[in-house]
Amino acid sequence: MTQTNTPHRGLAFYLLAAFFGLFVVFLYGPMLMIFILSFQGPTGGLTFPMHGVSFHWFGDLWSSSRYGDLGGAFRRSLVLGGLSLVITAVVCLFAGLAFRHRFWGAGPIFYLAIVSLVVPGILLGLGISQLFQLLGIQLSWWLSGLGAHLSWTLPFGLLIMFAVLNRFDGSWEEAARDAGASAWQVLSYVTVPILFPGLIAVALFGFTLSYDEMPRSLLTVGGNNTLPIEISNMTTNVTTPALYAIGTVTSAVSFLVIAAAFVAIAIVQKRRARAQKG
Amino acid sequence: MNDQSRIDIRKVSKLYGPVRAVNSVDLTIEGGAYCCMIGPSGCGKTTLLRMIAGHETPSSGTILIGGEDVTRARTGSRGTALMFQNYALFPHLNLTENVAFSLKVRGVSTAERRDKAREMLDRVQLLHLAERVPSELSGGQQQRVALARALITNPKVLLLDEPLSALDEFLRLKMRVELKRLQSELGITFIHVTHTQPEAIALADQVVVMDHGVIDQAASPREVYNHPYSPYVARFMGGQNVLTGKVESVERGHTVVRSHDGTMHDLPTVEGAKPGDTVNFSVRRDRVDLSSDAEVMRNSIAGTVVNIEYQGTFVKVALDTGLREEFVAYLDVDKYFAAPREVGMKVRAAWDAKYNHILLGQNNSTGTPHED
Amino acid sequence: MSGRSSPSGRPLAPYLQVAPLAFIMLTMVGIPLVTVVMLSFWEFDGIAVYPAFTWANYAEVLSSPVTLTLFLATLKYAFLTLLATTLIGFTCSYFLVFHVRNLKVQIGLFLLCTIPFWTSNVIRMVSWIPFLGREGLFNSMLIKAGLIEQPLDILLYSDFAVVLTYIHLFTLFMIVPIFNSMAKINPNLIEAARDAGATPAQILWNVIIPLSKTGIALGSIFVVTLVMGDFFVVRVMSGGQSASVVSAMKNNIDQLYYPVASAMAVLLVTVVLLMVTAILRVVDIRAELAR
Repeated sequence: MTQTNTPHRGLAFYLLAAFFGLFVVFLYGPMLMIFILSFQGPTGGLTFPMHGVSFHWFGDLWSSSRYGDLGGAFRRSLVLGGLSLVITAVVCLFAGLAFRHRFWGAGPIFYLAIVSLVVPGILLGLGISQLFQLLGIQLSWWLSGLGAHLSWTLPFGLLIMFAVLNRFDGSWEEAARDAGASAWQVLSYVTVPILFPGLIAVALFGFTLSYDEMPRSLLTVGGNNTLPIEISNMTTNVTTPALYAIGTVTSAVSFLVIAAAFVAIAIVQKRRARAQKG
Repeated sequence: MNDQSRIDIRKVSKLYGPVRAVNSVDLTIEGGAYCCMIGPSGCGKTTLLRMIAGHETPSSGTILIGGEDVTRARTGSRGTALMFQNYALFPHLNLTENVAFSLKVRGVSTAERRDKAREMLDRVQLLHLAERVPSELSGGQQQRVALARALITNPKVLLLDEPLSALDEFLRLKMRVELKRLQSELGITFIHVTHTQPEAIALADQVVVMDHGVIDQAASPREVYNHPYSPYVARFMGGQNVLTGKVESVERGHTVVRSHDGTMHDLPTVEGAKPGDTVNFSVRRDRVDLSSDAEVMRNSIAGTVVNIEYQGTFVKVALDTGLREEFVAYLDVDKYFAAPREVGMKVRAAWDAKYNHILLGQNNSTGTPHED
Repeated sequence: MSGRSSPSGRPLAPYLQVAPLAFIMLTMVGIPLVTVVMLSFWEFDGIAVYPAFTWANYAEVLSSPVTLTLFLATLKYAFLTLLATTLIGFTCSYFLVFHVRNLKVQIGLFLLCTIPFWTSNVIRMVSWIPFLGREGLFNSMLIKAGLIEQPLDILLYSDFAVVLTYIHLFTLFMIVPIFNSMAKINPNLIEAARDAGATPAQILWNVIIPLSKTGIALGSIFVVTLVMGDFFVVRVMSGGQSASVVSAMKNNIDQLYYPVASAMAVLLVTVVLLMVTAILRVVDIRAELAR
């Protein structure tokens, strides 16, 4: 990318590299530590040293009733994540396509999306919950909760979609139309296949942002909590490595989803590369 | 085929808000003709092309293809095929699939469209690359794929939007020949939008010179080049010097015009001209000779040499005549080097009266030709 | 070229395409925010909320000496976090863009910085507890090294822990936009500056920093709004000793003082918007993004 003329790397490179390395350690080190500590022995505590290695605290999550409805919260979070994934990908795809044209109201809608990113989540949660109560609609994780999540995932998805569409040439669609394709054929044969890797990225945002969302959910999910709410309650109540165990579990889910998205993108790209080789 | 691929454009306008991109254009393109639309950026040529293709709908007017009104017909169902400036090849499809695309959306069976696409690829000599994707191809190969994709539906009219502009000099000249050959083989109408004047002259049966949304002149290349209609056309197509003068006297078969420095010019009859009227006329650069400044004569102009360029087959001498535009003479190499000039010399350019050409059109904008 | 407008004859398409987004944004962002503003003018009698138009909630918030303290504390967190994340974000992006020569390695390292974004903030915050606690790794390391005799108490449950967590959570919001604007800098510019005799420091100051301004501004907006909107980190990591505007607002909500909470929220959003506007004044992000 950047071609520095100096053939060998100077002192600046090593200092910066060391700084960057430290930052990565800072970023991942603490997480790594709780992953290790979640395998703490049954008699171990919240900090090192390890008193043996066991799955005790993972089992504890399942068996103990101290932690509330973790299973239900986990299930709800996965469902919400899945719904957000689909809705974010579809809504942002079409919204992104729309924003390529000039239309009345484009500015206000865009600014509303930006405002949604900027305002404190808890405040939006307050607004949504109060609005629902004023309208006499009962708060539920699958309606007001989902809405709160979408207020968070859609603006991000939209911004990613803009970036993706930046590299999308509108004349591909025109060429398809010129060949006689109907609006639906243009979408399914040309637009979606070309945008597919970008759509996976949007979907990834849709899932993970929803799956980990806490401040907006807090006031909007009604009686049934999502996993991040249960975990944040645990941070103040639970003083055993079970806290780390649930952290390891939920991070594992996140990493699995990220890995799945990356693999999916890689497969699409590879399929195209294979087509190239013939 | 011929009448089927004839195009009639009647009073077509296209407005973008208050901007008239195309302003009440009338044009007939004979079936099987090679038509080049030329003009500077924003002159409306691409908009006109896109209206013929159906990617834009005229604000008013009608477009007929083969006598059939297609003004509001759906893109892709009016017998046209557009080849895009950047080719717009589908990046996710291989060449066979790209070429077969319009058959696919028409519901042709997989085997049949594959065979047809391969046949078409063979025709453009790319069959050996049939399974590649576009990003693996060179610019010239991409262009041939785009041609194949456009031609697979046997269109009546092929529309080409600056088809050669993305190619390098060498390929451009090569593809120019291929386009011409292809057109005469197929016998269908080609409409080719370009901003390069030699391209239009070399390819077209009919050159359409546009400016500010209107057609200034539509005629054969020889006619446009030798008898430009307006000062703009003369300047844009190049090879001409545009001069202005006031009518001094009107005689039978003869009009005398006095130019800015007092020189008299003998022009053919100007319809309805009265003494005192302003007249634009042109003289081809290669019809001019240089003599010394001293002799004052009719049909000449005095100036100072500001630039001399040896061009191989001729010598280009530019004069500052005190006007906004330089006066340019293309001189015979042998003749020039028998009496070479220097920058700063005062000279007089003179020509035979028969080379004076009257510019009837009023469009006096300074079209800058793109010289290849 | 001559105008390339919407596909002809289908002016309705963008409206249909944007309708779902518009509907959700309106019902889940626009109207709820209006609700909050409306609520801030309603009356509260200690039991329930009544429709009214009163400035009492604002008067209560503004007359309370705690409000100023809360805002100052919030601004302090925002400022410290902004300072640290900008320095770290700039340095890391600078390293990635100008010192990593292999494009694949560059993208790989960039992704490494961004992956934590897709994991839980709560867990990432929690992960500092075993590190910073009284018996945590950091204290035991310091004791082992003989630097201190008693474990330090200020590491966890302190402002230090709060800001450290903010930096940990939000630095990537700085790295991504700065990286993006730096990656757009034409390498020839650096060469030209070097050609003109500029030292590396001069190149940094006169070329790279001005051209990274958009990224820094965008990142600053993210970091400021994220810090000022947080209530959870400040509550947990300070051990309940410190508060910010939003955490105080959360307390009001927990006690069902919705109108007062709403008034605080309106004030906070006003302050945040003023700060965002100030940042936008310095850099015209929209014009630069369009580049």
